[in-house]
Amino acid sequence: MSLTIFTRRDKVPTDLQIIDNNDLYFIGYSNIPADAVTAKILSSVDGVERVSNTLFDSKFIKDATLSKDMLSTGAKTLLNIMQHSDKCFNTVECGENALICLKDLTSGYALVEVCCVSFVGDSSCDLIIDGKLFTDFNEATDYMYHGGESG
Amino acid sequence: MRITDDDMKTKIDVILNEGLNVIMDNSGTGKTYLMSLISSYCICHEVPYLLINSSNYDIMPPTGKFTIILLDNANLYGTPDYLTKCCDMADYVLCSSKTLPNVTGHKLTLSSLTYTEGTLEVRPYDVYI
Repeated sequence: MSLTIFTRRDKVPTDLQIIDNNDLYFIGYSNIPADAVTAKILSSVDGVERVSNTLFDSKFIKDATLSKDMLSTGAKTLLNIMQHSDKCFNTVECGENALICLKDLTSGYALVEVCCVSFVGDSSCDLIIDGKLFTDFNEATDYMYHGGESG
Repeated sequence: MRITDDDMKTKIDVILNEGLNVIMDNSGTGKTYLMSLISSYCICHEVPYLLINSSNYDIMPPTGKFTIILLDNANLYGTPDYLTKCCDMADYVLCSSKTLPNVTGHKLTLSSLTYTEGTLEVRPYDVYI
């Protein structure tokens, strides 16, 4: 399976609901699953480790365990995408480090209207962007940087 | 203006210039957390402040004078008019944003946010007049 990305709001099918407030949606409907992709997201975006479905270890407060609601909006957005493949999640609040993690997702829908990412490393990915298949993340980010026009 | 508090669970050391101070950084670096810590500081030290984010930006009062206005994720709602109004109403405005804000008639400072040895630090590194 592939992560499906749209580079403009008007390209999202009308029967696919767009979620703009990832914080509130995450608080109500998502958690922290125990899998390798989630662990990588928590590590590379927030620099933290999962404790349970609802808790993680804080990096700002020594020996403190925090509620999932305290994750960054970037991490919440990625976890929303992973867990709700019937919705399209707006990535406007994702930083560059969170956008890079899109390459590790293999399902779900994301709206990426702004993408300025410089990436070095294994660039293999499985993304469908505006209906086109991308297997190289650098080509994918170049396409998204130019707003859906091949650069 | 310097805001420091060693009694907080996460210490803060924040230097702000007058006008608009902007932090542009990755996800998970503590921008939103910093805003809540500064809010706590303002409550504790009776500093007039406003904390604004994408959920409450439309409740901005029409008039008022604050020492600090905090704008979290300002790129989502911070139009040039909105930011200029904030700068008119406060001595110091600190905002996090994914894009460089546009404000007229006020000094704009780009600042860095770092977390080292238990302290969140904000330091100006570039100024535009």
